[in-house]
Amino acid sequence: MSSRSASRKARRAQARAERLEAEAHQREAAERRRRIQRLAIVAGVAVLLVGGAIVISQSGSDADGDGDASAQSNEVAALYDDIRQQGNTLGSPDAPLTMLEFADPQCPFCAEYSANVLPEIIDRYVRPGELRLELNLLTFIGPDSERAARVAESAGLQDGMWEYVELLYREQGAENSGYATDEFLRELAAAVPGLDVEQVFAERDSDAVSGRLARAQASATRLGVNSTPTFFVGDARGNLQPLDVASLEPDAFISQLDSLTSGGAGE
Amino acid sequence: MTDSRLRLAGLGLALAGIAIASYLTWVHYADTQAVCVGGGGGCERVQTSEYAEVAGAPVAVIGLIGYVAMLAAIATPGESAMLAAALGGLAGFGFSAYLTYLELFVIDAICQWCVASAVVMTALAAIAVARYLRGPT
Repeated sequence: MSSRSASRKARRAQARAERLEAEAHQREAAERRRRIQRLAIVAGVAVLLVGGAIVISQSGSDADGDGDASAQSNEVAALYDDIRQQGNTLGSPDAPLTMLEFADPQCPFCAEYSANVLPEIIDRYVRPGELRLELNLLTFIGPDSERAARVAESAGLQDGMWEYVELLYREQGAENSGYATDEFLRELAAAVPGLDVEQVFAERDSDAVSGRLARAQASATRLGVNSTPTFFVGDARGNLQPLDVASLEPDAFISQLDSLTSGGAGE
Repeated sequence: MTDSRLRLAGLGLALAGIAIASYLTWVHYADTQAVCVGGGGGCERVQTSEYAEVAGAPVAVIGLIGYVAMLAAIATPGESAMLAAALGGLAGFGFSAYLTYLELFVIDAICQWCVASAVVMTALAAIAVARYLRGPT
């Protein structure tokens, strides 16, 4: 009797242990399912977050690109508005004086001059017809200079070189970092009003463009230019003299140019 | 691997991510160039591309915030923190994948720092997901 009761007890205990184990397995499986479900929801939220970020990134980059380009383009167009431009020259061909600038598209000081001094020179001397500017592009800094200068000179064939170079300066990257890609150069060309971008790119390797770059280099060699920007002022008879400026500030140029011209229209 | 080891690895990766993102944030605001092993200007091109900002916020800063959030989530005990880390890891992984796609196929330049960050974020996502699925041990 007692042995029968003992074996019943053992069977009950075993059944209980099996039930508990099965329940534990069930709980574990349920817990695992719950975690996978939650993780799936979290993955869905992550996809939505990333999707949102991508949409913002894409629209932002488009809007920024267009906005910047059009704002820059308007500013640059306003700077050169109504000034005669022919090839690499800016201003009236009848101006009594010509200021030659030797510059490299990658040169940061050239960009500084263009931002700080050039607008003042244009307003003070070029618009009133007292001075004509001539931009000679050199490419000594590296391959990015050559690529940019070719497109700039090609834009010059359509009389859009000054705007193009101004945009190049504004978007200047680190020297020889490879930033002057076709895409970059094309974007800038598209921001110059009236420029036929396809034609600019079709003509960038033309003899006309190569000839312009070679002439600029030959002039630089003849005049002993060894850094950029370097300036010379010439009169109608072609007498050139170096313009030695102490700094790339408007006053440094004005003090010298005033003594050569009739004193500047601003006065 | 025990959960505490996974957690430690996660904390280490989050710190590595913070270091990378901090450097790229500094490069962005100091207007300087990232040190790019082997040269080639890839970092410069990626950092100055139009995709270097999302809604006006530099991607490097977004990354820095993300890594700090991941560090906090991994350091905090509890299931909710684990779930938050998994969410951050998966979102970070997805965004890193998008940025890597941009580098390879749109910008055509590879920034080694960005690749390093993408690798760190991928490992972080894997650890965060594994920790959550395993549950408290």
